[in-house]
Amino acid sequence: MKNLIISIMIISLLSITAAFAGEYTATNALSYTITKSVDTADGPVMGLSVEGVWSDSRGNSGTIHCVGTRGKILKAYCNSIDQDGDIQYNTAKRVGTEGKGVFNGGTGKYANVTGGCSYQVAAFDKNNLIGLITLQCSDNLN
Amino acid sequence: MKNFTILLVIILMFITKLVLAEDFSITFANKYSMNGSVETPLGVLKALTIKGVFSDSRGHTGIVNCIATSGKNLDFVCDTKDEDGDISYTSGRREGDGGKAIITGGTGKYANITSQCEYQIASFSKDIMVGLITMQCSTK
Repeated sequence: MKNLIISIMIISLLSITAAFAGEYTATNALSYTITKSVDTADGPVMGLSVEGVWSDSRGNSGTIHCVGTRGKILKAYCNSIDQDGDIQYNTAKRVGTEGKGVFNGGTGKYANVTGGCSYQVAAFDKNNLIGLITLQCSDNLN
Repeated sequence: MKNFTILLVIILMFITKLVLAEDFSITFANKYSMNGSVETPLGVLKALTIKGVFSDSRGHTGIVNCIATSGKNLDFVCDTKDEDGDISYTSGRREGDGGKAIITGGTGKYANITSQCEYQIASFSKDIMVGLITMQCSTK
């Protein structure tokens, strides 16, 4: 009886999680362009333009464009466009090789979608400014 | 006794597979540059250079550098350098959204190692010439 109750509780918890959040992984291939840099009290800050492609574990793929700055912290505003032409707006903040992203709605299926990602720089080439990014995300997309 | 023999055979098969073959996967982020083209009897043949980075399921990361020709198929040769400075040599052919590659030796840990691979283009943008490639390999 005790085991049955525990099983029901686990199944209920899993169902609630599935209903309120969709978890998935994604991978980005990004090409970085440094625009200009300025000196600040916290050190030099560079302007960044980032373009790339992505693919996720839900079967979506597309392109991503970001603009941002990189000093001690990397901050960027990004648009991800999927295979249907729907756009997702997100922001990213990274220190070192670990970062966080936040979804802020978008168009089509991404309208009113919120959530976010933890991400890591899996590989990066400073000479050619190419990066491979792995992301673990959660959102309320149905 | 019969069940024990079957179990023993299964265990031996697993051990043999582990000894003789190692499966691993690699993900590449690549940037493509066009370097010119020529007319051939089979159509236009374009020259490409590919520069990128990789990360594999064995915990290795590094950079990849390729030259390629793109016509009806895409034929390429690459060298990859990992976090230890070890180099591996790869060649292959892409047809459509996927292809086959063979890793044939290299330096350091890759010396005398041969792997057969299949790969897919997970995502590609013609506008920015950036691609995300997933590859599954088996070393024998």
